[in-house]
Amino acid sequence: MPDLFIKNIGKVFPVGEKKRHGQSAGEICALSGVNLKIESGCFAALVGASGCGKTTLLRMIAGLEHQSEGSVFFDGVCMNDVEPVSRSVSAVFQEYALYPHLNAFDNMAFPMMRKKLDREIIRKTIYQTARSLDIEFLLNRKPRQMSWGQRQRVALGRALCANHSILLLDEPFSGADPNMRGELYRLVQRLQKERKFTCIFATHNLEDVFHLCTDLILMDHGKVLQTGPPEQLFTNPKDKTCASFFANDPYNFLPGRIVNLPKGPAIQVMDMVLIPAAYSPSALQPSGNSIDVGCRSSQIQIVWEPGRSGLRAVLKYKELHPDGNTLYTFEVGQAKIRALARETQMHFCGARASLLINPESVVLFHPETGAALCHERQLS
Amino acid sequence: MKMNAQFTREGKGIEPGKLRRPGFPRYFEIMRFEWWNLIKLGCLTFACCLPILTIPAAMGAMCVSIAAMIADKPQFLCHDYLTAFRINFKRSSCLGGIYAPLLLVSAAAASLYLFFMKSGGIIATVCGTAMLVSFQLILFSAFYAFPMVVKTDLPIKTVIRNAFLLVFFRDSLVRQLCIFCGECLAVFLIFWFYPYSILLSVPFLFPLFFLLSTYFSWLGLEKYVFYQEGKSR
Repeated sequence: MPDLFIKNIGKVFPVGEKKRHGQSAGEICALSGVNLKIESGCFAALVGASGCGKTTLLRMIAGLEHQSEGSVFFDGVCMNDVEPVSRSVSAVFQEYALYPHLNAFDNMAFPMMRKKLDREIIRKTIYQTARSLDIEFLLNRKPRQMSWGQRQRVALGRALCANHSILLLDEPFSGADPNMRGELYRLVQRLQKERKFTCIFATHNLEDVFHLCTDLILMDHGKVLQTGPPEQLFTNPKDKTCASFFANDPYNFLPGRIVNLPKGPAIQVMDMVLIPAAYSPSALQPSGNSIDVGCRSSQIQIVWEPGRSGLRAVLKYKELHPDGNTLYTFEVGQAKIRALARETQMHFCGARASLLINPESVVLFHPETGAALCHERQLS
Repeated sequence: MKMNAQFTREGKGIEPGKLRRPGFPRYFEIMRFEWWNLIKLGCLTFACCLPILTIPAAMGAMCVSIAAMIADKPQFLCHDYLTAFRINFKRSSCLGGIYAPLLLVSAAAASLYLFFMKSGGIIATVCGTAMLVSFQLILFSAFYAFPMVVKTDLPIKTVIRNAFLLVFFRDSLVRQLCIFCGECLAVFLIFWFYPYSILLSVPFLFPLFFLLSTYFSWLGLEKYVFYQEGKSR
C-alpha cells in the first residue's frame, strides 16, 4: 500500500471567454501550495466549505485533473505523467459517473474485466459487494432505473470491487438518507480496516466522518488550514476559521484583555477574570494587550440562579439539537454567547443566568490575525 | 373529484408483484430490454450449431441464457453460454440424440402422407394430420425437455417423461397455438425472403422464437418441476 504525498500542488482554472491568442480573460486559483502526507491504510477526511478545492484535489490524486504546479507521489513515485487507469485509484464522485448503457452488474464488473480477471471471481466479488451494500436487487437495472442514492451505492460498489489501494470518495452519500448514510460510512470503515486500503473522503458535513476518520484535513479557499487527528483539531484549532468548523459544538469568541494579578498574568473577559491553565505566564505578555478568548459551547457552565461569579447573561433564544442537548444563546452586554447543555428544567427567553467558562479549555486567539496563541504548548 | 372523498384514509395501494406483468407483456418487456443480448445469443448459437452434432448442446446452452434473462439475472453472455455449452454437452447431446430421430421420422412421415393426400385418400389425410400433430407434440415436449435437462439433475428418462406429461396435461392450448403461429411465421418469413432471410434469421428469428418457447415452458417448469423436485441448479 503506497503512502500518498502531495507536494506544493496548485491549480488555476481559466474563467470567462477566451481572448485572442488563446489567452483567458481571468483565472481562479482553486488550489495553492497544498502539501500533504497521507499514510497508507489511513482514513482521511477532507473537510471544507463548498468551493474550497476538495474535489479538485481528489481529481488530481485520481489523475483526472492536471495540476498547474507541484507533484503527486505514490510511495515516492511521481504520478504526474501516469494515466488515471494505471494509478490504482478508485473514485466515487457525487455525480456517481456510472455508464448509462450498462446495468449495475456490468458497471461493477467493468474495472475487473479490464484487469482480465476470471469471470467467476468477478461474479463472486460483485455478489459479495452487492450483498453488503444491499443492492442485490438492483444488479440488472440500468442507472436510469435507479434512484440517486441507489446509483451512488452502485458507484461505491464498483469502486470497492476494483480493490485498488486508494479509494477516493467525494461526498458519495449525499443522496442517501441519514440512517443509510451512517451504515454506509461504517461499512466503508469496516472494509477499509479489512482490506487496508487508503481512503480519502471529501465532505462538508464534518459530523458524519468525525468519529470514523483517523486524519482530518481542513481546507479553505484552496489551502490546507490544518491537519491531524480529529481530537487534536477539535481541542486545539490553529485559528478561528479552524475553530469554527465544528458546527455541532460552536465556538464563542469573546474579547478579552491581559491583566496582571498578584498570582500572575490572567485574562479579563468582560467582568470575569480567567487564568488559562494551559498557557505559560510568558505567553500572556505584555499586560494590557487585547486578546480573543475562544471557548466551546459545551465548556460553558450555566448557573440559572445568578450569583456573583461568572458572566451575567440573559437568555435570548434556544434550539434543541438532535442529540438531545439544547443550544442556548445568551446576551452578555453587547456580546452573544452560546452554551450547550441538557435542559433539565424549562427556561424561557429572558431568563437570567450566570455563565462560567472552564479556564482549562479556553484557547486564545490573536484579535487581528485570528491565529491561536501557543497552541503547541496547550497540546503538551 | 368526489366532494365527499376520504383523504385521511389509506388508499387501496398496489399489490406486491402486480407490477411484474405476466404473459405476453412480460415477453415483450424481455425482448425490449434484452434485444442486444438476444442478437448476440442468436449469432453465438448459430456459430455453435455449425458442426451439426453440437446442435443439442447449443440449444441447451441457449436455454440457460434465456432462463437467466427470464429470471432477470445479470450474466456474462458469452462466458456463461460457453460454460453451459461445455457443462451440459453430454446430457444435451443424449437428449438431442433421442429427439432428433423422433422429430425427423414424424416430419418425414407427415410430409409423405401429405404428399399422398393430393390423390384424395382419406386414410392418408388422417395419417398425415396425426403425424403432423405428433410432430408438434414432440416439438413442444422438446421445449420443456431442453430447459429441464440443463437446469436440473433429473435422469434423461424422467426429463422426457415429465416433458410429455407437461405437454399432455399441463400445457395450455393457447400457448401451443402461440408457438405454432410463431413457428409458421418464422418458416413463412424464411421462405418468403430466401436467401436474404438466412442472414436475418440468425440474429433475429432464432433467438426470438427460442425466447418465446422457453419463456412459456419456463412458467410450467417453475410450477411443476423446479418446485417439486427442488433440484434446480
